[in-house]
Amino acid sequence: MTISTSGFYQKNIDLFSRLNNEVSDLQVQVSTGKKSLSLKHDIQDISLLNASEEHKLEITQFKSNAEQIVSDLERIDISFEQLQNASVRLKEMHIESSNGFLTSEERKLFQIEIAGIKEEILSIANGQDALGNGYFSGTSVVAKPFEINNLGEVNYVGSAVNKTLQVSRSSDLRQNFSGREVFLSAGSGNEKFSIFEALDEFSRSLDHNMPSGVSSNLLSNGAAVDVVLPASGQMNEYKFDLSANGALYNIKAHVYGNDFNGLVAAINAHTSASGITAVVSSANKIRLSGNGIDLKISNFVTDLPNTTDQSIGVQKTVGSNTNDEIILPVSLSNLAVQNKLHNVFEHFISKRTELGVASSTAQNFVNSTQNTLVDLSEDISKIEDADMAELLTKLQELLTNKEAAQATFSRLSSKNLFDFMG
Amino acid sequence: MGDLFDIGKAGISAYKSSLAATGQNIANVGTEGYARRDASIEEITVASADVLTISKTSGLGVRMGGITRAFDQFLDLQLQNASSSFSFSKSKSEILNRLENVLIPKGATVGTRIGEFFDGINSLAQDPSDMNLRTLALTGAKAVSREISQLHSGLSDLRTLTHDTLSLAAGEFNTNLRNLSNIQNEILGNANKSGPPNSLLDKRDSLLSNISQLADISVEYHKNGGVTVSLGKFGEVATLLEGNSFNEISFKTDDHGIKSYLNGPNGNLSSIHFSSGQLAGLVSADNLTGKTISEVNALAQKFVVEMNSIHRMGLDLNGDRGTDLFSLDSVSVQKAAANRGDSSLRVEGFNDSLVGSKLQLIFNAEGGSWSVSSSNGESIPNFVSRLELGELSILAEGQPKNGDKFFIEVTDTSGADMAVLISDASKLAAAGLHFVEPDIKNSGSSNLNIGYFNESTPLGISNLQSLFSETRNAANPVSFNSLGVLGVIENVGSIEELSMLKSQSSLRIFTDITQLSSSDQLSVTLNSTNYTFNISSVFDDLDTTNDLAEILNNGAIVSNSSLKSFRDLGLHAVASGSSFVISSAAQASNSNFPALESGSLGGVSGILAREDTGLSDLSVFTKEGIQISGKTLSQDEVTSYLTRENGFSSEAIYRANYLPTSSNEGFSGANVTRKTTEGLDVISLSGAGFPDSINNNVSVYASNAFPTNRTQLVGPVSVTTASGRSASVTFESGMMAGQIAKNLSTGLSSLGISATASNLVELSGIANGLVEFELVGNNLSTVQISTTVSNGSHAGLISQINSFSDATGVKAYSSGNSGVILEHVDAGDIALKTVNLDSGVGISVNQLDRFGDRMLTNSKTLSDGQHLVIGGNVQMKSTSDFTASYNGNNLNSTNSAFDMGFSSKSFDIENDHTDISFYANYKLDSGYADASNINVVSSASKYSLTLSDPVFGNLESSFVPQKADEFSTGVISSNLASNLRDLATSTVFFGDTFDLTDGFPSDGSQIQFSIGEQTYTATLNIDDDVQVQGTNVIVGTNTYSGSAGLSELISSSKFVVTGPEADRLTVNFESDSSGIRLTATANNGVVSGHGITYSSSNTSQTAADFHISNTSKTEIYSKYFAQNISSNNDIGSLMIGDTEYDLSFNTSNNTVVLKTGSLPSWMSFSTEVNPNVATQIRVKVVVNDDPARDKNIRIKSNAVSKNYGISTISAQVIASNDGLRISNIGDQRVRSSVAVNSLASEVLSIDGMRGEDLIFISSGTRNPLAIGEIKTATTSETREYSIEVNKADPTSIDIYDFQSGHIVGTRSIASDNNTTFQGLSLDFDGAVAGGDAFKVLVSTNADDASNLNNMLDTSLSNNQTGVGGYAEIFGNIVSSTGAEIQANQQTLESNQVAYQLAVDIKNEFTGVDLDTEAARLMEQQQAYQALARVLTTARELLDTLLRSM
Repeated sequence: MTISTSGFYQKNIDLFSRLNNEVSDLQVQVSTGKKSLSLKHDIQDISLLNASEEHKLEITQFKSNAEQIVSDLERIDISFEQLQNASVRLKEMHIESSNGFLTSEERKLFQIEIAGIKEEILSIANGQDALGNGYFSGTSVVAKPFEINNLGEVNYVGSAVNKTLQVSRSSDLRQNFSGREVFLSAGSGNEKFSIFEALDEFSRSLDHNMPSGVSSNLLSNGAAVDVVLPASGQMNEYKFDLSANGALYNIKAHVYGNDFNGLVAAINAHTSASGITAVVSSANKIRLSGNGIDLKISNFVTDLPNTTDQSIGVQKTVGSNTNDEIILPVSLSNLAVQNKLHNVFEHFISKRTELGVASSTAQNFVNSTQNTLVDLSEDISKIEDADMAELLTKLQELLTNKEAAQATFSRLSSKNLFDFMG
Repeated sequence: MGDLFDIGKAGISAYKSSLAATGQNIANVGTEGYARRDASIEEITVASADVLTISKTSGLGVRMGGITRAFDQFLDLQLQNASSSFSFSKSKSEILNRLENVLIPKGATVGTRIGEFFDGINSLAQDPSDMNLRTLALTGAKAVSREISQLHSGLSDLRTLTHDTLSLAAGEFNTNLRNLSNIQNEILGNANKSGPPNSLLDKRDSLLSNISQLADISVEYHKNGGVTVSLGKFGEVATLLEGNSFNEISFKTDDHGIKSYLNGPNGNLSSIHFSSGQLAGLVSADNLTGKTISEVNALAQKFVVEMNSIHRMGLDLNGDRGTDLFSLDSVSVQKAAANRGDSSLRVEGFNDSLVGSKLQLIFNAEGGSWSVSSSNGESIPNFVSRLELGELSILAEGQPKNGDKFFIEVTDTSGADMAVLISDASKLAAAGLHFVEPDIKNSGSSNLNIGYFNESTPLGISNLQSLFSETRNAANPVSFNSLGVLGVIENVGSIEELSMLKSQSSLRIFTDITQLSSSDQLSVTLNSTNYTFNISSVFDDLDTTNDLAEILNNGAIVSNSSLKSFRDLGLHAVASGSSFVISSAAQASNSNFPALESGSLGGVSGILAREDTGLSDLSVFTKEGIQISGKTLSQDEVTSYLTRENGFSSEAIYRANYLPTSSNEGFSGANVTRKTTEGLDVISLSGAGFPDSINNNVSVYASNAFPTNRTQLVGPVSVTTASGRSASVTFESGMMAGQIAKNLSTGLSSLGISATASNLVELSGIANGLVEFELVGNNLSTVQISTTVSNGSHAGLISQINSFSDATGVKAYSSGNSGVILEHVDAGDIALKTVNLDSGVGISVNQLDRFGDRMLTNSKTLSDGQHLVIGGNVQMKSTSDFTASYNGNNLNSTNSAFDMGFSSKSFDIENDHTDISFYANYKLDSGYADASNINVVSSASKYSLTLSDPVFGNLESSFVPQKADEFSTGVISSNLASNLRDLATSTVFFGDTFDLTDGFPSDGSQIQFSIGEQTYTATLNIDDDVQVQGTNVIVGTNTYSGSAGLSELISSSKFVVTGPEADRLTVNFESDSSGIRLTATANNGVVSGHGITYSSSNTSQTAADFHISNTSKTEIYSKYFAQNISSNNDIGSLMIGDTEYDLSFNTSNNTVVLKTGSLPSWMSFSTEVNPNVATQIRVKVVVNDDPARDKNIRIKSNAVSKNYGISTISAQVIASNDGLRISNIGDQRVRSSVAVNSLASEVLSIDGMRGEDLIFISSGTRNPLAIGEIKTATTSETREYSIEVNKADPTSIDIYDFQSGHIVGTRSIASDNNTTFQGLSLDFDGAVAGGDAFKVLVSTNADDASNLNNMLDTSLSNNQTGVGGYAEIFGNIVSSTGAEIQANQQTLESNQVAYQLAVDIKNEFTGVDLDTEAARLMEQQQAYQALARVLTTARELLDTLLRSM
């Protein structure tokens, strides 16, 4: 093959230019320590690098969030410890107040102490950190999420939603607690109650000498007894359990305009099994009849607003106007109060455990994100950082190539036939 | 020998030329485009020798065969192709290299900035109130904005560079083409036998090479050295050069890309396409740049729209609603280069509606204003210096000259203009607008997370928005072509009187005024009766047939024999051109007018379009299938209508629960008022069963028989609607009317049926004396009522009952003269036990309905010692027909005109009167023509009122409003009242007769009169120029005395009467021979039969001034009646208070006398003969005035009274602007009923709709006609929701409007625990349980980070909503662009190799190699030397030969 002289020169010019460019690029990489990534040749690496850096940014934030959560929850844990102590004291007081030999003055002293604990819990519930963020105000910014009115009723004005921070793409962790879940949601299932109401009920139950939600045997004085029910007004629901010789019958009826026939019908629906027959004896009295049956009423529940109307009277002597016995609503019974106080105790423990779990989880996220960050940094380094040995070797190769090419060119171009012509 | 010399000479000559060729090659070794020359030497053979040639075996030497140019067509074409491809890749690569630098510059990219933005947001989420973090987050937002803007600018700059480069390249292409054409001319002009000069061919090939670098060309070489050059393959694209002609190329560049053209010889442009070469490379690179810009714009828009959408749904640190965070808006102003003035234009703000439009502003010096035209066709007014276009202000400054222009372009999609709108970090809406409050009783473990996205609207749904406007009336309604789904109106704020219209018959006669003569007639046949109207009397005044139509409408022409006007016949006409149209108000629903059957004008018969009697109902739905107006749908209709294609949500569920069944009650807090002329369908029942006619709601028990058990509903009530839906409702023991109604409302809500209840008990006729009873309502212990009624006053009784209302729930009100109404506020039972009535007089008991009408035809009597128990009354109401069954009884619903009808009625229990008002709309019923006089409707409205006295008959009145100002409840009421009064008795009050010597009241004196409950004040106005001096009357300069003076004074004295009703009372002075007296006349009579009385509130001075004393009198007149009517001993009564004096008539002597007893001395009566009809008489009652007297004096009718001119009812009727008030008299209760006719079948008004999208559906058999006005919501009110997981199916959730508690939609969460609803994304992050509830409430917590979390969520793409994933999108842009760059690089490298190869091959063939040339030089030199030796040898041979001679 023949090549023209000008073509020969042009090819060599192109060759030297390419070699120079490559050497120059290598020099830049060596000097910066970073690979020269271009979309022409390294599109995959560039995509990977972008994704990795984005991920690193995100993980850094997750780590920061998790650290913040750990810090916040540590402060709140102190409040939970105080709440737990208070609940223990309440349980102790209930046991102390449950014996039947207390005088009204002694019960009064208990009520005073309950009021004190209520104030203490209220104070904790309104606790804030140094920045003014409420421990138990959820996402609300109100200074005091709990307010108490003149009647002693405590209302929550904070948010029902706790603050959260994202610690992973799929996980949020609590940063604080909602006052509603801590102080208004004791108990389980549908039986949630307010801590403050439980304290109030405890205190109110001490108004009675023998607060009982269960009657004695109603038929102990004969085969019939009059049960005096509170007036229904326009409409009211009555719900209680009728125990006949140990068998329990759930009685539930709406009474409209003091027409107690519906309630009577509800009781008589069980007559064949219970042996108890009910009739409306007069106005709001229902006469329960049965022979030799151990009949008791328990778990009385009413939603009548006036507390003075919330009890059932029992007239064991038919025709007498004297109430022989009062059956309190189940919520004020000794057992109910005891259960509630226990639930309060359990609730605080449960919430503290939740806090511990959240804090621990956050700490785990701190650790795991740290590891991820290290891995990501390595990955990024692999893509981004230049391999010096490789670069230098390649540089050397290019320089050698260039030198050889130059020498060859010089040699080849230094002689032609004209040089040999005379 | 000679040959040898010749051989040597020829050889030398030949090699000399060869040496020249070689020298030429060597000399051009570096010349671009030079093709190597080859000298060919050929032998001179014998054959070519002359005759002297000796040898036949040896030749005669050599000669130059020619110098050939190294050229291979294939190689050139190959090189051209390779060059073109290489140039394509190379030029593209150069642009793409720059694109890469712009897209991913050193430092940071858009992706980096987006990551940093989210980084800042995340940091802020830790403490949203921290101002430093807020500022950092805002800085991050600005960085994103800046980076995108810079990227956009960089890409735009690159595009500009590409366009400039392309322009240069195109110029180069055209120059080369032109040069080639010139060279071709030379080649073709200089061609000789040996072909064109090689130098021209070199130039030709060099130019072809240049052109092939720029574009993909095909070259056809011709033998004469010419070429034909085509773009692309031969003939496929275009011919660039052929012969002497060539076509240049050109490009047009803009933001949308590059278009290339071939410039034809006539200046025409034809589109061409470059597939290779530098030009194509630049175009391709530009396309990629443009695509990248589009993608960046799309990213910017997505980012801005979604971020703004979220930001607007948040609260800033001040608790204010978030605004837009970013903006892409741009308003660019361009000044025309040719402007001569020094004006400038400034713009402020932005207007979304102008996006995408361009405005051109031209200054008109004559008017001194700028005229504006918009590219979107919107009409914009001229302006002088400032123009407000919504929120966009345009300000012109400086001194413009006539014709100066500015251009304004409004865009909102360019990333170049991206900016952050918020500078105050506290305005960053970090807190969520909504927060989610899980119910405390939730048993599931899930939280609900709320996000936001822009919900797209399905395409293809008709938008009705523009159809409904206030300019429409009944003659130009929206006329739909079909039934079914009519369309949707988005973002509805209110609907004003959307009316569905009935059809009318019309007669269209095609004639015009030129075809008519004065003798022509209009003839119409109505209900088989012909009515003829002569037009001769008006013909000369007619310019058009429409003039005739107006004359007919005005009643100026009446029918020939019957003298009926168009209005009388219910007709209305209009004409335009040759169309004369008459419409008829006669409808199947309105039999007041005869039906239009045929007609003609001037002998031209009309074409009758009959009334379409089909029904057309309107139903309105939300997109979730909730019906908010109309009649209930059948299941088939639901299946057919509620589809995605019709605009409904794919998860829409039909619900009729919120169909309004009372005024001002509607879906989700909106006031929805749907009126029909017939009103709602109603079924009435009681707490004891139904129907009322058999119930024992009002039960009177004998002594000692107070029941121990109540009568009550014991079984289910089953209801079936006309649309085929049914439901059954059961009741608990003891439920009373109020509770029954609630139960029915709950149980029947799915059928669109509601129920209300009331318990109103009227106790009347309670006599004086001790009244005792035990009252039982809600109270357990009976309440003892014990009071003494004295002087007919029940105030003590009422007061005592009301003192126990808190316990009993029973309130008492005064009723009539001697009654009490008891109301149980909760519609519970009312019981009166052990009634003790000292008087021994029983009490009348009746139950009142909710309008205050008595329900029992005959009241029951509650006697001493008895007991009373009254249950309440329940009404089930629906917009549709329905039936109900209970305990074997079946009832069909009937219409109640007062329940959402065109009239409404209310019972004012406290004041014991009933108010009736009327709905009227002149746009519907005023008789209209459309703007072009093509269509017309006739007024079809009529309002009728019937007052029913249960004992004494009815008074009926009707009014047909036609003029616009007659369509108001005030005017309708006034006319109805006047008509009623005209039927009843009339009355006049006369003062004492006096003369001027007795004195005359001074100007401004006032006097008061009473008509029943109404009191009127008359003020005397005497003309200013009239004075009374003694017995003289001075008028101006004239003095009058005696009768003349009185006459002047009376004519100058006018009374201005003020009072409850206008024109109710006329007061004046009248004179007779004995003097003058004051008269007061009750205009139109008095329906109660009362007389007008001098008010007791007047002072004695007033009486003296106006000459009122006990000789003054009130006169009451019956109507005239025929005196030959039969005798009757009880034709009515005169009532003085409660005392009744019966009248009897004896036809034998035409006298009316008292049946028994005698009247007081101050009262008398007589008969008067009708002065106009001698056979008619009337009763006249005269009552002398006494201020202390009982004013309750009246004529009372009985069942036969009407025959004797006495038509009164036991109620007063008062008209006002608010309607009619009916006040009962005594213990009577007058029932009232109305009937309304209108062109509208229903009228729907909605107020307070919170931007709901509404879908309109029409069902029935007639294509709907509708008018009305629909307005969109101006402000979007943030809704609050409560969301409940369905108990029966925990994979679905029900969504309720929190404020109203109304369900607004249902969604399935079966797929992955999340769904979307009206712009909200609902994501349950754990296991839900049936019954779990969540409140989605508007937050007030400014320190909340939930909106930040919503923003953070967009850092990743949400697969369901498509929101977010911006960094990923940018990565995709980089990747897709990078892939293109990479692909081009690979192509470049391979093209380069191919190109180099082609160059090498060509070089090998055409290039000059010095070694080769040196060798040839040596060869040729040696040959030359040898030939010289031949010559020398020949000479030596010759010398030798010569010497030898």
